[in-house]
Amino acid sequence: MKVGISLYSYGGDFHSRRISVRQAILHAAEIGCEGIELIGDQHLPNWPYTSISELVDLRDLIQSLGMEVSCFSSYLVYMLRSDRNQTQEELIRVAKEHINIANILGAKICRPIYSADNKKDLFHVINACLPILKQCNIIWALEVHSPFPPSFYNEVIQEINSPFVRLLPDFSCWQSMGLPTEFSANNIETFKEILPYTAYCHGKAHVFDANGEEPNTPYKALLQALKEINFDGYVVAEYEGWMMGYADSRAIVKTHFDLINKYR
Amino acid sequence: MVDNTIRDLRRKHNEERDKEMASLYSLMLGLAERDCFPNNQLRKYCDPNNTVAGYVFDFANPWYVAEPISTVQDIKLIVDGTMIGLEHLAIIIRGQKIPVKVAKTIYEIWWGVGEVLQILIEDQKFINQNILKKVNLEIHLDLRTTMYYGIPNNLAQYVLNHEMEVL
Repeated sequence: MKVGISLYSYGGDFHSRRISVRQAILHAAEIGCEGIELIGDQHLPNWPYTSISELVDLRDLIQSLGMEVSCFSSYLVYMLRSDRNQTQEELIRVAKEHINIANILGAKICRPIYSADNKKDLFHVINACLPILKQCNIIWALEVHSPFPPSFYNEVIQEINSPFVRLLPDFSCWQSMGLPTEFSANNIETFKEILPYTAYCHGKAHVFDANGEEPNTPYKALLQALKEINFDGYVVAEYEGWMMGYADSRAIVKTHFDLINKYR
Repeated sequence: MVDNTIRDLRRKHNEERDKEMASLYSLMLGLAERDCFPNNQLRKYCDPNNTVAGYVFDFANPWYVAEPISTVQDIKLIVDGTMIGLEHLAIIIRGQKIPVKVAKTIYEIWWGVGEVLQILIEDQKFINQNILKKVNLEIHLDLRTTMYYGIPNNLAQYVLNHEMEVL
């Protein structure tokens, strides 16, 4: 199991312009991170028109620090325009572009976030991207996230039936107790059921107690389940508590990173 | 179950989803309150002839990811009780001036995370009036979301109020 950091964790400091993406990457390297997850819409310069040289510079910076881009995430926005929604063909074109970006960044996992209205549209977009995924040897990771139960993704993945489409469980699915953005927790068994199709995990967190534990998320049990299958993918720290109030993201990321390492 | 559409599942989970998103939305409003005004200055804006053509203030993207300018559906300002409608407002982003009334058609230009643009007031009545050294500025911003977030009409509505120093 490898441990990474999603730069989303530094979101509060990006939003308030306290640190740059470069500073966040340097911080992640300082604390011993192996992989960096980048989100195009939050971390790439001049998005969505980031140049190839900007991508190469970013990749080279990350690699020069002994890390790699563990995942490239992006949003397939379907309400780009005010007069109409994006067509399926337009979304496919954007998805392919994002896969190419992942390839330039050296990421082996990409997560184009697509909020499809129906399963047919989802399959259509993913199936259209299978040739380029195969050509680039990149996995499209479908995030297991609310509002759908983990079992839903299990069915989707079996229906697509491609080694280039896998699952990315977000730990918030097993998070409990009255956090502002949370649902009631799914049983941990539902995590184990999707592990055969899991390529990458988001270690979601919103709060930490004095002992550096995330009191609402069963990190120990989730990571134990990953250890039991000798999971060799990434678990990345994805802190989202910055939406609930400001705290120095660097200190929080270190706490979060240490928590994952403690139970890996 | 395999035959269920995502729409069916979404409907099934709609109540829970909307409850979550309502909370998420309220958190995003808090983020905007905290970060959108990088300074509290209302500055004179001069044309190339150095004539005062309006007033500008800095305003940062309230959303948590980059968004196209087309998401800006409406902006209204109330400055010391005087309403300034969108027909007298423009956005200046990276040197490009975009009247707010056409912003919703501009999907090619994106507003980055934390990126500061300027909002320009070009209302002659406002420019010509005796403006105090400090004014109260209230901005009403309607920002369309680019994906489904469970927010009514996919519209994040911000109302932010700041005391501004006039320079």
